[in-house]
Amino acid sequence: MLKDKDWTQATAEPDRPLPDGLKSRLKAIPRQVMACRETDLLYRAARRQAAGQATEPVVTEHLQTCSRCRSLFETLLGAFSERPSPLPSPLTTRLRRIARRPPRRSPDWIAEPRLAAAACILMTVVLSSMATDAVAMLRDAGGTVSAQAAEWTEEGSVRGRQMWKKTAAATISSYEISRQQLTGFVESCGAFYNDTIRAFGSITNREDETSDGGPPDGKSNPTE
Amino acid sequence: MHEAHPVVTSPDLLLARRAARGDAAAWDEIVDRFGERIYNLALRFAGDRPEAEDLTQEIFLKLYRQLHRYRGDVPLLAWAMRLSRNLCIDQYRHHRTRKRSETASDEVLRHLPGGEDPRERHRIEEQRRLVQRVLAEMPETQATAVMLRDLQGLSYEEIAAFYEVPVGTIKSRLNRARRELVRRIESHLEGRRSTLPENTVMEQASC
Repeated sequence: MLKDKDWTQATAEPDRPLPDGLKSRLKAIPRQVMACRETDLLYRAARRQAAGQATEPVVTEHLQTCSRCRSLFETLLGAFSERPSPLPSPLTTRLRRIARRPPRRSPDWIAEPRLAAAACILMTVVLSSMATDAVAMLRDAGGTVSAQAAEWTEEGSVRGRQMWKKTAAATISSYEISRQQLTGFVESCGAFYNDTIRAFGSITNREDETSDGGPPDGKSNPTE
Repeated sequence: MHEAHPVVTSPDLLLARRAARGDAAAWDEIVDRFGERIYNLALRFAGDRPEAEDLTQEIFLKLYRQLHRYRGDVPLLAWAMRLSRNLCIDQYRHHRTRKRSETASDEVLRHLPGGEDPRERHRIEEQRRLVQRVLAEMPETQATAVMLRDLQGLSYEEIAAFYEVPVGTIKSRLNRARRELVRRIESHLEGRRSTLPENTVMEQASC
């Protein structure tokens, strides 16, 4: 029997180092035994086996003794072992034909849906405010406009301008477009508007010239 | 004054530029290189062959129209998949709502391993159907992550490019998705086991 004195002597001796290889054998214990809850090991093993790689021995050993994990492993393996389908040849022909069509590139602002939506809203507002300027255009052209019509149109014009501002602010916030982008678009709309008015004016002048029998500067019409 | 042109070094970028300029041979090369992978991706999202073919064509049409925008910062396949994300997800949502209650799984089942043994093939088909059903029940982001990585074999980088999120996000999403997939498969298997005759259950006693 071990006496207290011997025990004290034995424990008083300095610790001896672990024999060679024992440390690594002890560390490997968790890798030699697999528990059912370690499903990530099982999952990885199923993927490895599906890819044609060897299954870890610890998993193989566990699967031999656990039917529950085996059916889970087989289910995963069945799903992972699927082979890729070849591209059907009629589809290949259809895909190759895509490049034989003439290339079509839309303007950048159309490709950006937010900006395109904003452009549509603004275009609607621009057109409505163009309509409210009808009285001024008619007067400039020498037409007669009743007082009531002028009043209604003026009211519409004021409302149109207010709506313009509100719509612009709402468009900026709703569509998250920058003020610079919107300004650029409005400027291009303005340029388009001016060009249209100029073109309209030149057509009207030409019609006037024709009805007067000659240009206002008194020169004879070269076509006559 | 001449405008400075950046030096084009990426082979993908060269190929894309040639195809965007209307070079039919370059486009054919793109179809040959990526056609099968994109078709299989479409098959995964669409579920059946005719819809997958239409989806593949839509993806390639979109790719062709957008090729001039490719800058070569990511591989062309990853970029093409990023372009196709919305098309794929829309198709997948449509497919999930249509197929959730169905058990039959489609074209992909024809490419299962199992050789000519009908019993073996049937067993693998059953397993495939179970995984399909479980994926249809899972949250969409988790199900698609598992599909792209474990069933389709895409790399983390390709999946990250597809979703336009960092690789780390994909890894953690995939971890959660795998755990969820296993949990749900186990619960389905448990359900099946409980419906088996008693002696069969005894035979299949687990650890």
